[in-house]
Amino acid sequence: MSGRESNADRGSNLTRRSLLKTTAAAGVAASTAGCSMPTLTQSSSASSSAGNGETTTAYGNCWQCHKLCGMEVTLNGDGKAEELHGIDGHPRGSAGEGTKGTLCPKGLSQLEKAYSPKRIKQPHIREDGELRKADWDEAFEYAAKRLQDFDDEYGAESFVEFHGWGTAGTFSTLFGNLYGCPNHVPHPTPTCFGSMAVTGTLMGLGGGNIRWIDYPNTEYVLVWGRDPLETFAGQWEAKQLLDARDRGATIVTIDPVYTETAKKSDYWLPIEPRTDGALALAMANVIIEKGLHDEEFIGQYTHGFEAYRDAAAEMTPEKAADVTGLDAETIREVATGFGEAAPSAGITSWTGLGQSADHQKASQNVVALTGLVGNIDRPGGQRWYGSSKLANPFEVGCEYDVPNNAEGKQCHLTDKQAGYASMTGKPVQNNVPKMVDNGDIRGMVYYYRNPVTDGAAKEWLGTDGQDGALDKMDLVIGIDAFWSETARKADVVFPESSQLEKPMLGAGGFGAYNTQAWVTGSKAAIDPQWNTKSGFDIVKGLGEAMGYGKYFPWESKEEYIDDKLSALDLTLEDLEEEDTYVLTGEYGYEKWKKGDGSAKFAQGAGEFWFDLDKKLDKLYAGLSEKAGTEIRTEPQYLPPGTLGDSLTDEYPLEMLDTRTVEFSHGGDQALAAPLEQLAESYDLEHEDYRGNYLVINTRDGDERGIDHGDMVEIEGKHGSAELMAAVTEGIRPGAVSVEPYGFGRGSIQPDEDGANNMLLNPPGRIDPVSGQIDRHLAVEVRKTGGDA
Amino acid sequence: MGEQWGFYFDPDDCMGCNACAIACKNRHDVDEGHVDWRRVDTVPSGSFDDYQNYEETNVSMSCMHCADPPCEKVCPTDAIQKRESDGIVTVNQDACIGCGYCEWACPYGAPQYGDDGLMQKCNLCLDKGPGSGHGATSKNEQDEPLEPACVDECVGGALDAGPVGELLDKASEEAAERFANNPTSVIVEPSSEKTSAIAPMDVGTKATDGG
Amino acid sequence: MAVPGTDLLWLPRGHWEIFIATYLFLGGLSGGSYLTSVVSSVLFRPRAQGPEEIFACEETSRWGALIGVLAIGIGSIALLSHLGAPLRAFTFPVLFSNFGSWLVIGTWIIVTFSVFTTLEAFWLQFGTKHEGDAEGLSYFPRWIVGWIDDRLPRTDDRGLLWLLDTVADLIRPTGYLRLGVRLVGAVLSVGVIVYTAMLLTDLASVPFWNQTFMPFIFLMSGASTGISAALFGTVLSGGGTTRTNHLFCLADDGLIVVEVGFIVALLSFLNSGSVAAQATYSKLFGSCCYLPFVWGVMAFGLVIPFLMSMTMTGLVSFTDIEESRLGQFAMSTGFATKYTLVLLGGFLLRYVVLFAAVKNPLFVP
Repeated sequence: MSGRESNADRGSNLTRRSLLKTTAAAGVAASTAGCSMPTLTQSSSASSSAGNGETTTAYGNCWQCHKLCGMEVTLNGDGKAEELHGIDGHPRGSAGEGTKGTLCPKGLSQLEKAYSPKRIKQPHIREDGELRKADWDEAFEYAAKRLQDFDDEYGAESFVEFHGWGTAGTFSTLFGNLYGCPNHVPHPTPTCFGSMAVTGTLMGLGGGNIRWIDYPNTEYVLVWGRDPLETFAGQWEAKQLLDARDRGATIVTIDPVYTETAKKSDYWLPIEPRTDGALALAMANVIIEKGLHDEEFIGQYTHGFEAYRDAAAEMTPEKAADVTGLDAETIREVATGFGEAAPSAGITSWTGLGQSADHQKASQNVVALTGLVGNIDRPGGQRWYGSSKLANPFEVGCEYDVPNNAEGKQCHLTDKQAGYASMTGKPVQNNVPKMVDNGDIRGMVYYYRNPVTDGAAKEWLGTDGQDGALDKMDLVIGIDAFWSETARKADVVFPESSQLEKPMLGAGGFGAYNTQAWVTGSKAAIDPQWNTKSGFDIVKGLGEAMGYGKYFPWESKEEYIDDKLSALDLTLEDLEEEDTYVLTGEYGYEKWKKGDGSAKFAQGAGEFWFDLDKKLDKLYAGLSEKAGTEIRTEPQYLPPGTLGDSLTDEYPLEMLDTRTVEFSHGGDQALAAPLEQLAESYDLEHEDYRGNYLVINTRDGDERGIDHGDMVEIEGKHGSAELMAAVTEGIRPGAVSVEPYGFGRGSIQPDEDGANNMLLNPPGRIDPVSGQIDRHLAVEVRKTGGDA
Repeated sequence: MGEQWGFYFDPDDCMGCNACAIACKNRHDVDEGHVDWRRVDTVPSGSFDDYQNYEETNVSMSCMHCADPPCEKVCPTDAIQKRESDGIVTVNQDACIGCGYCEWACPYGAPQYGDDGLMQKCNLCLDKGPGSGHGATSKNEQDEPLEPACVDECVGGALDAGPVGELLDKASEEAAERFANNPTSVIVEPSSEKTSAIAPMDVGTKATDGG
Repeated sequence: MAVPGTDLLWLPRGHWEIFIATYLFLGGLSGGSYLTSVVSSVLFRPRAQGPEEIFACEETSRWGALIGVLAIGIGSIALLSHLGAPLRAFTFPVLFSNFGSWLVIGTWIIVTFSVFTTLEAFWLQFGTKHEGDAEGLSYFPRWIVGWIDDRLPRTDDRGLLWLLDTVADLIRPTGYLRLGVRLVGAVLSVGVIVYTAMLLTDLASVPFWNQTFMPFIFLMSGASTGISAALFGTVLSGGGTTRTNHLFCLADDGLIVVEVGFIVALLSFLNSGSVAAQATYSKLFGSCCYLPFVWGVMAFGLVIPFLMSMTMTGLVSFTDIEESRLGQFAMSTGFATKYTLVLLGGFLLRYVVLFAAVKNPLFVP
């Protein structure tokens, strides 16, 4: 590839900014505290108030996939946002210092979101069974009263808080600490990638860290059940992966679907779904046989290698090839390449290995590889990004101690006696409808979240004649921006402003700078539209109405943010002057190593655990009984259907999730422009349909008389849904995929275009270990011949 | 004749993300819906049975600002013009009658039509808005020429724009060779896995033999 | 647009839909009708023997020119309806500056032709010769004017009709001048028909619009639909059993045969041509266009009319079917039906030419 510029240099006119250099590298890491004091240099102020007739520029941090890519907002003379652009050098929005910043189609659609007439424009409260408009004071008072009555009658422990992608941490303070609700359903584990996350943490890697690779130094990347060129966690990731490839790194995609990343990979391994555990063990087999494993790391810092080695010895590449549908030689090649490049070799994995009961053990096998080759937090391997600590704003700005009124209350979600938690004590979102039926939960509040697309959709939404959990609950309060079916069932709806309309802040962390922590933030670029408020202002207003005003002393979110930033001696104004981001401190590698030569891994132990016997032996014994087969504590291959759904003659296809770049990270807000682009990406824009698509192999389609663009029904044992088929050669026959979030019943889609494929998910279909909803379902697909 | 401007595209870096298409729509205030000045397509090749060789290539295309534009040839009112000053093909919306002839003539599908029925298309960001390129100062002489929105927001860094001479400096030999033989102002890198390039029917001749 | 496994980037077709199909059809029809009118006036009328034949010839001439006017008028309205800025089209003498474009060439041909067909229709409709008991349905414009006259407040016998008759006689040329005007008009009418094809075939991007075959197909079709329209009028006026009608019908059959030949040649060319050519072929016989093409154009538009015509010609020539009133009625109905089918087929041909069109795809790097 002669004469071609590297990816990062392309494009002209990088914005100039002064890059803050930090003083010494004392204080950033997952395990060390404190941080360095950055020096500030003056630079030109970029943002200014609008409305004076001239075009001006404001800032933002994108929240469409919630990764904070820096955003430059062009405002016209009337203060209306007209264009959005990336910010060069931004830790999430660019590939690093001196490189171009961009925004992806989701970020660029923030413009549409800010001004979308479909937004909820006014608070609403339910009166006499109907939702009606209310002003803010009335809505706050009404909600406060309903919450008080609820507590009096049922107790706050019968309430559950769903915190999704809200941008106000005070939400949990209000409902957890102050209102005293102990039931908190977080976003990641029960709904997103629990089967991998919980395992990864238990083994010592850290659940999230299976996602992050030290791209600038890597030579070999296994993209395993993830699609970073589609679902990049910020622009930086796609750019750095492409840069790694341009530098000569080998990229291997392991996925039943020919993903965007597969297009740019050196190998595409179209693995039979849920057989990843076999491939991982076979790779270990090859690596150990060739002596490519890191003996020193294994000897000093791990536990359970013998059991792992024995398990790997059993799984030859030939055996794995049989089970995975791959080629044994290729397995050897990839394993060897990975092993030889290690420790500058990494694995990036996410929901592809995180959403099935059968994936929990598979995850263990995959994470074990990191310990095997010793790439944990080493250059080019898995990266433990470090962050600067922000101040606790309550400690800085609030003179009162925030109580913990939830303490001592029965937490139905996680208390063992209540019987709803997962085997590792994690909340099981799929059990909430049952808890409602049992009277243990009678109300909920949600903020930028829609549980109905995560699982058990039928049980949440109800079907013809049957009420769902949302109907049965006494009190449902929502903080949301668009009318979803969930919002329409709420008793109180607080309309939230979108990202352009509110100040933003984040510190990290994973991003373009692999040895430097950073903080990024911005003021609101435009005023809250219609009669909406930022989440921060909503929580403050509601808190005040509930009598907790003294805990929310800040006049504005900006003040609150400044308190958080005080730990770094920065203000939001400072950040804006620096084009929204400041680098705050350096950190090194091998952060699991302590000064005295011992170590501390993510689960708090001094060793990385190949074998989970120290914590989970009883759990796996119980699981073995449940499954009717021996499930051991060391890495082991469990065939698909051991714990999860089995394919049958009646339901012979495996449905799995994919993501699309237009909607990744489950924002659940299908806007018109990305919907159009999604339709175009399948060449189906001429159809009168703007929903999600069922991707199916040509052969499977032919057998069922399904052509590209036909309307089809996916049916499982538990339910069905209708959507449009996209026929392609780029998926393994036997597997079908759906881009799930934001379509069909429960979503904001007009006429429910598209399918909510979780209508097929029975509440009991979860990963019992983590509580993660199991989204791998056996289905049949039929042409409906319906209208789009 | 002023320096001629064009685009550069590398399919190896194109992730098919559509940021280019939406950035363009944002800048020029083009509605959602099927009016795309720039469009991203994915072309598959091969079958699953031979999955080691299965490929899909992403292509981002807008107006190619052809050397001898077929659209200019057929436009009845001379509304479409390839400017001498910078080689950008613009449309004069005051002269356009919305006949749709240019849409048929274009081998690349560049002409688009708004609600007003008039033609609008990529003008290499000479200015903002449909038809704004007509009469604009030469891109070579503008004080602060806009970087095309598509180039600016391309996540993979696959797109670039500028005087063709400058773009050729960055291009590979193969791309430069191919460019010499193709009728457009877009330099396209060969995909690293394939050996053929975007090669439309030669726009100068009429297809009487179907070849 | 990408089609699975084909390695090619297909482009969406342009947006010439039903209005343009109508415009192309009516353009061809208009030219063909005028041409029929001139042929009838110049070749048939001098040889016509007997009042019935004369009547048939004159009806044909009158209908031909009249339909020429009506068709080009309605066709122009259809065209203007398609444009994004129709009002601008009225400034075409100034605005249409690109004479390299067939659209401009065609506009001038049509405009000029319109003058000729309007004049011819005018001269055949008005004048002292046409006063009095005007027999023939093609005189309906006179009836309309007469009706208007009856409602105008007048003091004498000189109404609108008188005015038009007077003007017509004043400006109508005679002899060789008349012939010259008709011949020029005829050339223009052929120009109009051919233009509707050249507009399409000038584009290299669509193999279906092939420069070798399509102009001939359109020419045959234009003349054929022109004959059918004019003679339909004649049959309606009662001239169905005349030799004039029979001869025109046979001429039409000849055109149909040639047209079918060219269509078959085009199909064969498409089937063995480039990817887009072959895709067009598939489209013509596929779900998109099977019904309008195979049944509409080929069967009902060409083959069946031809067979009907042969049958009727046989019956007329070798039997005495035209002796009886019932037989005459049957034959007239048969001819009228044949002409209607040809017209339908002609429209569907333009429809299919637009809707089955496929642009050349691009190869991908």
